[in-house]
Amino acid sequence: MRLRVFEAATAQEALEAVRRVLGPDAAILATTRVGDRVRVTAAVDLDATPAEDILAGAGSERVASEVDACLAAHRVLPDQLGRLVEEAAGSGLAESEAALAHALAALGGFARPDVLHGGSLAVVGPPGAGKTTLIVRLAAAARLAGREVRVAVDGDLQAGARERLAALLRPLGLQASDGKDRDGDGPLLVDTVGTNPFDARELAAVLERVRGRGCTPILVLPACTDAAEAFDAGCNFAALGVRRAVVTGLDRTRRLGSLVSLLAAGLVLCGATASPFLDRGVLPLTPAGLARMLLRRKDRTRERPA
Amino acid sequence: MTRILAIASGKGGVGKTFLAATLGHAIARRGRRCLVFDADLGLANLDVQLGIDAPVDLGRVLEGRIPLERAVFRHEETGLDLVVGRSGSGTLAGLPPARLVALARELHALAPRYDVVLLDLAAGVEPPCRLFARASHGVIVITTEEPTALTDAYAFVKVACDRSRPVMVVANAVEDRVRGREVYETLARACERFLAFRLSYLGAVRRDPRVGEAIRAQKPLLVRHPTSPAAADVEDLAARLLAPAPRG
Ligand SMILES: Nc1ncnc2c1ncn2[C@@H]1O[C@H](COP(=O)(O)OP(=O)(O)OP(=O)(O)O)[C@@H](O)[C@H]1O
Ligand SMILES: [Mg+2]
Repeated sequence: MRLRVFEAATAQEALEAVRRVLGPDAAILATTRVGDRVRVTAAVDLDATPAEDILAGAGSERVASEVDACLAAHRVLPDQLGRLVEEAAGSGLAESEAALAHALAALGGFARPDVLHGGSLAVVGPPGAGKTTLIVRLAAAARLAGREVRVAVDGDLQAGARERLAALLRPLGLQASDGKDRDGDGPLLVDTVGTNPFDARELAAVLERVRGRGCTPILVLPACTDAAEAFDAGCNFAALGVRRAVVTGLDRTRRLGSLVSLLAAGLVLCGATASPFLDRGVLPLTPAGLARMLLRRKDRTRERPA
Repeated sequence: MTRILAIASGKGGVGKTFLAATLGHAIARRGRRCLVFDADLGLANLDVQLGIDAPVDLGRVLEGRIPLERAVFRHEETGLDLVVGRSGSGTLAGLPPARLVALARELHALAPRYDVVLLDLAAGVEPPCRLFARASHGVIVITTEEPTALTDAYAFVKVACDRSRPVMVVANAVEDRVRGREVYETLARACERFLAFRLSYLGAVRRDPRVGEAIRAQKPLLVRHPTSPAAADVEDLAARLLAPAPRG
């Protein structure tokens, strides 16, 4: 706002001066007598106030509070929440989604699910994480693309689990071998028995066996894992050289703190499963996609089943 | 119901700190629980005006060493609870936004213990000021009659105030009450005309040499010069602020 005070002998003269100096849009804010003269206070508001600076600054506050609120709703661990909010607010991006994507990319690594196709790999992780179904998804995707794969099992699957794997593989024309890896074409996909992430010996043993078979270990963890548990488990696997992770059951999870935990633990997120249908494959996770999910799900955290 | 009220001016040196301390004091004298929070970290002088050696300050809260709650201390002479900044420790503007958001959240958690929380904001319209203004239930904009003060007060309303919440005006260091209302009306017209936003008038504080005298003596005005015109005016502001809202 440009505010000017005009003094003249008459109101008429003062108003003329106002128009002359401030133009026809000037607003008269006050008129007073000063002795025998008239004083008029008038102003125009040039919208050329430091608008750009203001918007840039205001953006970072809004981004900080929006990102903060959403991450808290997702039960993201305080340390990581602080880092992400700072990184997002300091990004200079005025859009929360873009700013959070930038912060997520700075926090950890993302890779396309393509890295799961083509090479030999083994799924490792706690019992019930979705390891077997991930193997079947990967095998199905390979078969649909006309590629050969071999499926094998490490350790003693629980009673019934072997039958389930066999039943799932049958429509694909595949069989799981256990003992010796069958000769044949295509990469080897190894399913393992659930490992306790906090049993270092067990963990080291399973990793050694699958590496001995030429397989890259992939950590599989349910998205609904508590964020602190996911962080601890992720750190333990990462400490033994596991680099990649896939989260499962994204479609039945409302709070995604575990994904942030895995990134912070140093794992590269290679994708997620989000459908009970095994032919749906593994969906890509990107910084932008994860940012969108984190921001959008804020209000859905208490959604009840329909 | 607690009310967090930010005291802002845009321009520096128009009496924010004086008003925060004295209005807070008047509120406390009326038996209400009142916290005065120095949100002008870098150039904090609430403690200097009141002549206090603060046992603890905001610096330790911002370093994450203590919760905000533990930076509150009682000032017996006024009956106020205070949180003071740490002069010369750099400004709030240099803090990461996340820390500010966390601080504002802590302040909200603390507020229900009080009837009124007054925030003594820094001059200017920097992000920290705007964050505190938006974290408040209302803003008291203080201005003098000088065109510079009016222009900066307007700028503050324009860029910093959440216009769904009340913005009240205090005209400071004016000749008399008539002039006080004129100052208010000048600012109010600009806001109505350019922002389509209505301000309300809390009142005026007359220019009074005893304000400066009390500050130099580092004594609360209401203790040092309880019968001065400025003291009477601030008492009136407190009465108006605490009066139940008129029912429409
Ligand atoms: N009603 C008044 N009458 C006379 N002097 C006043 C009055 N109000 C304030 N002052 C003078 O103005 C000076 C500045 O006041 P104060 O420190 O409260 O301003 P402030 O807005 O908090 O400044 P800053 O922007 O630096 O924080 C005081 O030292 C005081 O002497
Ligand atoms: Mg001050």
